[in-house]
Order: sequence, then structure tokens, then C-alpha cells
Amino acid sequence: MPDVQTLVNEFLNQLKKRKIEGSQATAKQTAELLRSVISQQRVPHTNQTTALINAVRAVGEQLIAANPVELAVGNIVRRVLHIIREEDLSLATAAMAGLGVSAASDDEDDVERGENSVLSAAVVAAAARSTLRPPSLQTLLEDTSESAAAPHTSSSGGESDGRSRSVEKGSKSRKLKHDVLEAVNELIQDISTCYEQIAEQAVEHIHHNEVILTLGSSNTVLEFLYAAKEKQRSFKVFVAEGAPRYQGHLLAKELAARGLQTTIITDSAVFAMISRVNMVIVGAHAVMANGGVIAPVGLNMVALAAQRHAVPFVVLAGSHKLCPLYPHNPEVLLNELRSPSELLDFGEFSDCMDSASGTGSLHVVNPTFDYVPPKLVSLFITDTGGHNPSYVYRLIADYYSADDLVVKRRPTTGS
Amino acid sequence: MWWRSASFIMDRQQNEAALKGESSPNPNPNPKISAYYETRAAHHGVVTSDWLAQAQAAIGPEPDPEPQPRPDPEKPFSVIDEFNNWRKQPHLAEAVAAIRALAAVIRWSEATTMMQLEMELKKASDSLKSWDATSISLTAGCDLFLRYVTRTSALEYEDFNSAKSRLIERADKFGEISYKARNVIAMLSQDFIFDGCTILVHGFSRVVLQVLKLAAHNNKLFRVFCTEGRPDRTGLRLANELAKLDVPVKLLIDSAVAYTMDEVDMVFVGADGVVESGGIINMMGTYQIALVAHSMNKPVYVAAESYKFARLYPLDQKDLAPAIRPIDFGVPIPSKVEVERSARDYTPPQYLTLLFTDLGVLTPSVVSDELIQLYL
Amino acid sequence: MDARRAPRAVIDPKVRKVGFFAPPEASQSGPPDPISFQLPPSSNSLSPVMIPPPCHAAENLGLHARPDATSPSAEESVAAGSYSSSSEFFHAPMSPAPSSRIVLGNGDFFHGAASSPGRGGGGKVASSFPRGGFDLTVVNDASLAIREIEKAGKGGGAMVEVKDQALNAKQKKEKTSKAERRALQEAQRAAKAAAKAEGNKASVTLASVNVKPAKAAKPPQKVDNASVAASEKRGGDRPPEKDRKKDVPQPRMQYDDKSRVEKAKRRAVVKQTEARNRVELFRHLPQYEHGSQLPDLEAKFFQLDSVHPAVYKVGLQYLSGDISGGNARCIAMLQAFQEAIKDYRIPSEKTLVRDLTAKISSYVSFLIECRPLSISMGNAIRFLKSRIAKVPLTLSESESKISLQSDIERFISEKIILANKVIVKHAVTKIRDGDVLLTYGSSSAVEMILLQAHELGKQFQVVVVDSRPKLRGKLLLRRLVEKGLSCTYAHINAVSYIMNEVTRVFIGASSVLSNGTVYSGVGTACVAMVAHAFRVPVLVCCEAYKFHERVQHDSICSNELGDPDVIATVRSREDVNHLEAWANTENLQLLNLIYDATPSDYVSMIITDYGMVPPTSVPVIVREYSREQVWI
Repeated sequence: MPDVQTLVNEFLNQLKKRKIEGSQATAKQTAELLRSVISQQRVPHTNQTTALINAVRAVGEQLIAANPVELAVGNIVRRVLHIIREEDLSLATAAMAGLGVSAASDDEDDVERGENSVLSAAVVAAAARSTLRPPSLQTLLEDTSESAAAPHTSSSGGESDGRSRSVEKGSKSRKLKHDVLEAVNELIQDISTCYEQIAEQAVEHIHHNEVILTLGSSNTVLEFLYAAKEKQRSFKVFVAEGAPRYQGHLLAKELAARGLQTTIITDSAVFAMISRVNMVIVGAHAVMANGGVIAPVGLNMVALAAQRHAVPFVVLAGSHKLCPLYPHNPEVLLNELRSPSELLDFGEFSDCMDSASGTGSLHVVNPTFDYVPPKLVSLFITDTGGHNPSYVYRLIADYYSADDLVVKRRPTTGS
Repeated sequence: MWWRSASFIMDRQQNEAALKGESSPNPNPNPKISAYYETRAAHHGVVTSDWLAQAQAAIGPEPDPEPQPRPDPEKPFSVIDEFNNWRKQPHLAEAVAAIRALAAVIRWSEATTMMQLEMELKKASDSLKSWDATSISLTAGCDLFLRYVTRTSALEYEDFNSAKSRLIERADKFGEISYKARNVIAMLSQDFIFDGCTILVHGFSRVVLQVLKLAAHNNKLFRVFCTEGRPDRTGLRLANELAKLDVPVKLLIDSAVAYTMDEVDMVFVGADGVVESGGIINMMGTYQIALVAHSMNKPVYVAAESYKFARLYPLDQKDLAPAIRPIDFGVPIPSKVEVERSARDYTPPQYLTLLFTDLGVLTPSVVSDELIQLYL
Repeated sequence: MDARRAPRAVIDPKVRKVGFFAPPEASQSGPPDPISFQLPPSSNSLSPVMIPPPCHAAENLGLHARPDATSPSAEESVAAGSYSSSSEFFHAPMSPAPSSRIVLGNGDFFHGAASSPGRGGGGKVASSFPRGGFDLTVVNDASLAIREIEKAGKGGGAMVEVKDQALNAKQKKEKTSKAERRALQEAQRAAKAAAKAEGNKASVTLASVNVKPAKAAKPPQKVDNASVAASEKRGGDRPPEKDRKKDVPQPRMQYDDKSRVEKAKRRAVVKQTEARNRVELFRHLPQYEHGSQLPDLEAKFFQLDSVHPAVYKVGLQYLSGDISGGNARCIAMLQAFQEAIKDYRIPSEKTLVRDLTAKISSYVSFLIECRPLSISMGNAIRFLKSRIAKVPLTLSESESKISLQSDIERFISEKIILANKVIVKHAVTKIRDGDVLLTYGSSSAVEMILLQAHELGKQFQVVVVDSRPKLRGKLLLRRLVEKGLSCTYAHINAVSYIMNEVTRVFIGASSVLSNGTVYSGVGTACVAMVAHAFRVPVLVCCEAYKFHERVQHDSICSNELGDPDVIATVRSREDVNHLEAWANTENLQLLNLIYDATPSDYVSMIITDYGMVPPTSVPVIVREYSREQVWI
């Protein structure tokens, strides 16, 4: 336990100091941290699911608070919570099935009990469905929609645990943790290989002699373009430099080194060049539930220009970037202002500020992200294929449980 | 008096008879008045005295006391009467009233099998729906309940009586659900109301009022622009309610929406029905507000309970049954002049930003998903 | 221009050939190539609607509904008529024609055809009718009219003449202007139609012919006459064409045109080496290595006696970037010219008008070598040249020099300095207390507006948006902050972030083009676009002398390329200089665009010295401005 705590603290520190660059790295490290949290967590005999969930939540809450803008942290915390619930459910239903069979075998013994168990199996299944999925019209009139899902799950867990006492108790508790760890490992694997899966789809989207525009740098974009190049597609890439971080320079250098025809343009030339571009391919920081994108600063401008010239605006995003929150005022709330020193040198204006004698003032605005509304996005390419912005809500329903949306006790961001 | 239930608005039969028989200010090509909007007006509208007088004149000197077929316990049960009884309660949503009425059908039913019960329910709901074809939430509520019954029977309850009692219990609880839904929606939408924002609302909506109430309760600083909401002037009532909460309110005439839109940060509307496309059917004027907001890049939020989701797919404004309402212009209108009297319009989904429902915050595209899942 | 127009130039002769149905033996044109027959339906698709079918035709429409059915009946009639030259005319190989057009177009002819009962005869002759029909049906009516005219005088021979003229004209000039081409086509159609009429004449009774054109073909007749006139004129010289041409702006030098570039190079004073790794898309723009030519040019200072020292100095300043900004460059140039005119002596046996114009031209080409002219400078030069051309011959040398110098002085003070004052006066009325004004880059007019508003005591905030590589906004920011304005500084990428709070966007312009496009420093279009998306009004401040009648709708056809090296290095940010050795990488190019074109729908208002006008009124300003120039 103590060494987990130090791990957590270390990671928190890094998050707070913004030492971790990129959502993929953050996601991976978060998942790894949570894995060690889970493996260190001692599970009691009853209510193990709740214990695990609470442990993950406690850590997750801290992590999210450390860097609320890095949505990948929250995403991974929710993914892990979802995994725990899913594993619990699959265990429970497996136990139910076994129980149903056993009940059927000795039905003469106690008819009522058998009926009861079948009924409750249906109820539990419905309950499980409703906990893992957001509430829907289907569940509106059903009992379970009202009772808060979380306690229900725990009770069902306890119930099934109690009932399966006769079967094998010790192995189950170990099994849950084992399954969860397996699944988290799988998640980590997915995160580290997601760009490969995205890049595989490159050939379907990039054609010969096309002109691609991108802004800033993203590993996913790099791999995507390179994958198309590998498949003998010859095309040109315009790279907007992405001031004030100028990561476009890095990307351009890398692309040119890999043999792609690359041209660096200034960010201001995006509108001028977009009319000759066939497709805009960019990476994202996070994809929100409504299909909006939190992206490196400047991309909203690019997206508007692309819309003006009917150029497809394609966003590449691994599934760890899918965030189940709906953005409200995302330009401000999900943004982060960086140091003015990236724009102005320290002391550059100190001389004229003095002469202003307090009347004038100078602010420097240097945001990190842009919000691109869903109507400007043509397509998302994730590791599960291409999707419309209007379908993102469904992808999110696959990855997250409805009652994990608010990890924190007091909801301050998102729904 | 802000909220005065107009006495002339009584039962539909009376009104219809009056409009058929007596000469109204304008010749009514379609004398079928939308009962749904009559009720709305009665519940939320502000009725001025001259309007009342005029309406009285329109109806006739004395609304002839038509014998109200009160359902004796002995008499054959009428679902419509049951529904009308429920409907009179101002805080009860139409869909809830419908479900309550259907529950009464179950209660009085002499069916002995699930199949028979379903048939009976189907008949009752059809008669309800045809009684007021203009009310979407009535239709949606009936459909939802029927669907639930068939799904419950699919769950194979052990015995008919327990299933029946369970259905009745659920129906009774439904009113609670609808009340709860409003609170859920209000909770969900709190994040979207930020300090210093200006919200434009159109007409009166219980859900929207709940949203704003909660926001005021949470000490959010915001101001509200209320449209007047002609012809029922339901917006005045909302303004009144908000003023009671010490929320800064500005009243606009309906045609001042575009003028004020650049000050507005978001538009909040309720909905009479949410249709398959994700668009909404709502009080007349919603469409043009959404259009204005869209052209000025302002978000349009819809607060609607999920039982208003209906399997309708209007393509344009004329693609849905018009809900006719009498409109008072203050002056006599020459009989040659035609009057557009539809009470609602359809707002296509591309003009809506998000829907706040008790199922969560949804994009318009989710509505179809939900409906497909339910009615698959 | 050549490259873009090329396809049309290729197509057009074919179109003309279609009209041209004369057989090889009758005229010098070759047989029409098969492609040509595909073209007319598209080019004339509207024509069937335009033609009022003559009354006689109506009766016969039913009979001739199908093209294949119509031709046989038609041909007989012609054969029966046996007009000698007509059969000759119609010998060209024919193609089947769309039915609808034939019916409508040739109904009246068929009337005659139908009236003759016989069958059989040359198929070739018959199908010529459809062709005439689908070429341009209006002409069919017109042809009737013209036939009357021609018939009265010369008969069939006249038609051939018209046609031949047209043909001659075509061969004489391969690249004709659009107007010319149209005239040509019309002439040919007239010729053909007339010839057809000839063919019909035999069978159609004269009476019916006379009746028909009178009512059906009145408006086309006019057109036809005009076209005939045009085609005849072409036979001789074309002074009116030349006149008109002057109005159209000259196409710019295209640097992907090898031969012209070579020619220009030989003349050049400044030896510029071409940049490596040029961007494919911008091969038509000059791109030179930066910095290499400056010492070279300085060394040559004393050898270049052809260039006046003042002009030379300005050129060097352009080259080194010491003078930048539309107004500053223009004023510097004009003052240098003033200087040069002051020192100018008319060489013996030469007139001032000719020699000085030539001299100015050589200065200008020197300046162009240093840095491509801005449109405003082009306008100023045009003004100066027109002034020189109008110097009365009666004036003495010194008098004319003085008058020219004062002209330049007046241009600077009226068109630039005074204009700026008027703009400021207008713009300040649009600033309210509490406004947040955004400006991009650095524009002298906008700066004056902001300072003036500040002096008037208006309370407002300024957002200065800047972009690499020039970072001119920083200089503006410094000047504003020194004056005590409260400012916010942001990079262009952050413009979407800041735009929420902005209430007005003020931008300057290098030029405003006739279609409302604002040609300005690169990035202006981005800022205007984002402002438009956020429904923030965009006000463009631009003096009227910068307006130009050229049109442009993208930023690629004409632009200026800056030094690519400045892109690679980020000033005072050593941590991000990843591209130090970029030139060694074969696949990597850097593009430093100077201008971009902002579409007019992003612009809410253009503030000029003529007042505040919508972008749709730019051509009006251009028109009024040039008229005013004439008065001066």
C-alpha cells in the first residue's frame, strides 16, 4: 500500500507540473498506475467490486484534480471502473447461469426458490444492463431505473456472492481481481498500439497525388501518413508549424526524413493554402461526447477554413481520447493558458510599460487548446474504424458506465 | 392576475360545438381545436380580460351546459374521461395522464389473459390517440406504456394477476418518474448555465422553469429573456415565476428575438415532442428562434423528458397534423382574411445543440437510437 | 494566363467548325472533326427555348419529331429545289442531331420540305438541316432575315463571303479575345444559316418566307447584323479591340514561363539567385535566395548610372526590408521619383514625354527586381505615367518638371495622408466605449484609428494578433502600449480563443480588388474568417488609391514569396529550432507567403476616403476613382 501511495504522489506531481506530454503517454501511465493500485488493493470477501471501485475512484479523483485539462486521465479512470463493473457482471451472470442449472436440477426440492432465482436472474441482468449502459427509454418504466445503480450492483454482487457461497468462494474473489488486471493490461496494450490500428486505415483515406494539410505534430498523424506512403501512395503534405510550440517543424522533419514530400507553411497561410488541399488530417487532444474536439490551438481556424472550401476535416483519435463529458464553454473551461514567454521575451516590454504610468496594460494570451465544434468535423478515425461526429455518443456508451461519468463527488465539470 | 384559468376553456366538446355552431371572428376551416394546446393555455397562459370577453363572444352568450357524461362506477368505463380527469391537474404532464388513464383501463379490465389485456389496452390507447391527434406526448406516452406492457409480458410473469398489479403499480409510479425527470434534467443542465450568462426562453415550459429555478437556487448569476409567447402569452407567466425567484428578467415580444440575439448566450426551450430525427415539435416560434440562434452561432438547448420521444418523422412544417388554436388579434378580423392558427412548429435537428433529458445529455442523433432500441 | 486559358483556346476553334458546314471543295476549311459534333448541344442547350416557332412550323412539328424521320423528307425538298450551290454546301459529313433541337430549330424549313411530296435524294444534304438547327437555333430565324437582305443583293455568293471572312479571321489570329470569338461564331452561324436558307429558298414559297421572319426573327436580326459587321471589320484592322484591351489589366509575369524569365534575367540589374527547393504550387512566382544579392548590389552602386541614386536607395531599402508597409513603400517610391525628376534633364533630340516615361519604366523594373511591386505602387506609377503623358508640349522643361513634382506631392498628400485622415474620422465613429477591438499585424491606418480613438477618451481594449515570421504586431503593440492603451497580445492560432470577447475587427489592406476581395498580409483571411464565424464585424481600412480593378479569388494565382529561411528559425526560441539543416533534406520545402486574399463575404465594411462602403461597392470606387484621375 505505501509504495502505491508514493507512486500515486509521484504521478500527481508530474501531472501538476505538466511534465507528461501528450494524451497517449498520460493515458498509458494512468492505466499502469491504476493497475498497480488494483493489484495492491486487498479485496475483502464480500463486496469486492465496491472495494475495488472505491479504491480506483479515490485515486482517480486525485489524478483528475491534478490536471483537469488532461482529459485522458479521467477517461482511463472511467475505463478502469467500467472494466471492473464489466468483469463483475460477467462473473455474476456466469454464477447465475450455474445457479440456474443447479436450481433446475433440484427443482422438486424447492419450486419457489427456483422461480425466484430465475426471476431475479432476469432482474439482475436488467439491472446490470442499466448500470453498464446509460439510462434509456427501455429502462424508463422498469424498476431499476430509479434505484441508484451503484448500490444495486454492489448488492447484486453481495447477493450473488452469498448465493455462490456454496460453490467456491475463495477462488471467485481472486478471479475478479485477476480478470480486472487482465483487462487493464489489455487496455494498456490497446493504448500503446492504437496508432497502428489507426494507421492501417490510411490507405482507405489517402489517395494518389493528394495534398494533405496538418497542423502541429501528432504521432498518430505521422504514422498514419507514413502508412499511406508505405502502401506506395505518393502525396504531398503541408505542415502548418503550430506556433507557439512549433511542433510542426518536428513533424515535417520526420516526414521528410521518411521520404514524404513535405512543405512547411506558417499558420497564417492556412487559409491561403486550403483551397489546394484535398484533406486535412489532424490529431486531437480529446474527443467530447457530442463529437466536438479539444485540439491543439489553431485547429478551429483550420477547421473553419476547411469547411469554407469543403475540404474533409479528419480527426485521428485513439479510443483513450474519447471523453464521456459534454463540453460547455470548452474554449475556456477545458483550456490551459501557457507561459507568455513563448510569445514575448521576458522584459521585452518592461521599458514602455513604465512610461505608460499605469494607464496602459498588456496581457498575453497563449492558450493550449482549441475547441472544434462537431459540425466542423467530417470524420473521426479511431482504432475501431471511422465514425461520424454524431455517432461518438455511442462509442462512449461502449467504453464507459453511466454512473462513472462523475468520478468526483461534487460534479464540477461535465454532466 | 397572472394565471387565471379561463373559464371558457372547458371541455373540448363544448368548444368544438361552439365553434361549429356559433360564428367565430374568423371562419374556421378546420374547427378541430387542439385540446393539448387548449390545456396548455389554460394551465400556463395569461388571459386578459378583453381576450376572455372576446372568446366568450366567440363561443356564444352562454356556453350551453352540455351534459357531462360522468363515469359512474357502474357505467362502462371511458378511457377518455379518465384521461380528462387526470389532465385537469396542472402539474401533471399529458403523457402521465395518458399512462394513468391506461392504468385505469387495466384496473377495470375484465381480461383474463395478458393477450386480452394487451388488446384492450391497444384499443384504449387508440381511442385516446384519436381523441387528440395533435398531442404528441399523449401519443408517445401511450406508445411507451404499451411497449412496456408487451415487454413485461415477454418477461413471462408467473401469473396474470401479479403482472397486472405490477403494471398498475408502474403506471402509478410514472407520475413520479415524470416529476423526477424534471429534476434530473435540471441537474444535468446546471453545468451549462454559467455565471453572467444570458438565457433566452420561449413560452412556458415546466422543465425549463425547473432548470432555471434550480440554477437560481444554486446562486448562479444569470439573466433571462422571456418571449411573450403569443397567442397564449405563456411567456408572461414564466417571467412572473422568475421574478418571484429574483432572477433578472426581460420580456420581449416574439418578434424581437433576432434583435436581442447577439446579447444572448444560449437558448433554452422545452418541447411538446421530440421526434425521430432528433428535432423537436414545440410551441409556435421555436423554429424561428432556433434559426436565428443558429445563424448567430448560439447554442440551442432543449429540455425534454424522455417520454416525449415520439416515433414521428416530420419532413417539414406541414408534415404534421396542425394543432389549431384560436388567436385573438384584439381587433375584429375581416372574414376574408385568413389566419394561420397552428399552435406549434417543427424545429429540425441541425438547429439544436443538445437535448437535456432524464436519459442524460444527448445530441439529437441519440433520439433515433433510443427510439429504435425501444421499438425494435 | 496562357496556361489557364489554353484549354478554351483549343476548344473554341472546334466550336466554330461546327458552325462551319462548308464542304472541303467549297471552302478552305478541312472536314469538321468528329469531336466537334459533341459540342454544340451543350453550348446551345438554351437555344430551343428562345426560339418562337413560326406558325407554319407548328403544323409540321408532328411530322418531323424524330430526327431520322425528318431528314429524308427534308432532303427531298431541297433536292427538288436543286439550288446549285446548296448541294455543294451540304456535302460535309454529317452527324445525327438531337431531335428536339431539330424540330424547333428547323420547323420552318421543314415546312417547305414537307410541302413537297417526293422522297429520296442525297442523305447528306438532308442531315445538314439538323446541324444548322442545333448550332444555334436563334440563328435559324435570324438566317431567314439575313437571307432577305442578302438575297436582295447578292444571292448565295454573299453567304460564302461572310463565312470566308470569318474563316480568315480565325486563321489569322489563333488566340482571339472572347468577344472576338463570339463575333466570329455569330458570323459563321449567320453564313451557314443563310446558306441553308438558300437551300430552302428553292422549295419555300417566297411569300411564306417573307411573313415568317418579320415576326419571328426580329431581335435576332439585330444580333446578326452586328455580328456580320464585326466579322467584316475583322477583315481590316481592329482599332476598337485595342481600345478595349487597355481596360483589362495586363497579365502578370509568370515565372514558370521559361523563355520570359530568361529574357527578364538578361535585362536584370540585380542578380538574384533562384531558391532551391521551390514549392511546386508557386513556380509561377519569383523566388530568390535572400541576402545574397545585397552586397553585390551595393558594390555595383557606382556602375549603375542608369538608376537614379534616390531610386537606388529606395530599392536597397526594399530589398533589405527596411521599408515595409503599403503606404510607406509607396511614399518612398514616389519621393524617389520626385527626386529623380528634379535631377532629370531632357536629352537632346528627345521629348520629355517619351524619354521620362521610359526612364521611369526602367526605375520601376529595377524596383521590381528588388521586391515585387504592391498593387498600390502600381496604381501610383500608373498615375505618374499618365501625368507625364499629359504634360503639355508647350511647357518648358523646368516648368513641366515642377508641375510633375507637384503632382506627385499632391498625390502623396491627397491620396495617402489626407485619405488616412478621412478614414480615421469615419472609423472612430464605429468605436464605442467598452469595445474590444482586434487588429491583425500592423496597419498604419488602423494604428492611427486606435490612437485617435484613445485620444478622444474612448474606453476600449485592443487585441493585437500577430503571426510569424514577421511579427509586425509586436512593433504595433509596443507603440500602442507606449501610448497607454490597454492591449492584449496573442498569436494567430489563438484567434478562435480570443474572438469570443472581441466586438470589432479592424484590419488594413494592401489592396482591395474589384470583386471585393481584400488582398492583405497573410493571415488576414484567417482572422476575418474566424471573426465571421463568431459574427464579429470585420472593418477593412483601405485608401482608395489601393483599389484595383483586377479580380482574384484565391491566394495562389498571384502572391509574393518571402525568404523561406526565416520560417525555419524561430527568433529567440532556441529550444524549437529543429530545422537548422533543412536545406539538405530533399523532400522538405518551406513556404513563406506574404499575402492572402480575404473573400468579400467575410468583410462587413470597407472604410475608404470615400466613406464607409460595403465590399460590393468596390467596383464603384474603382470606377469613380479612375474618373477622378482623368479630371486631375
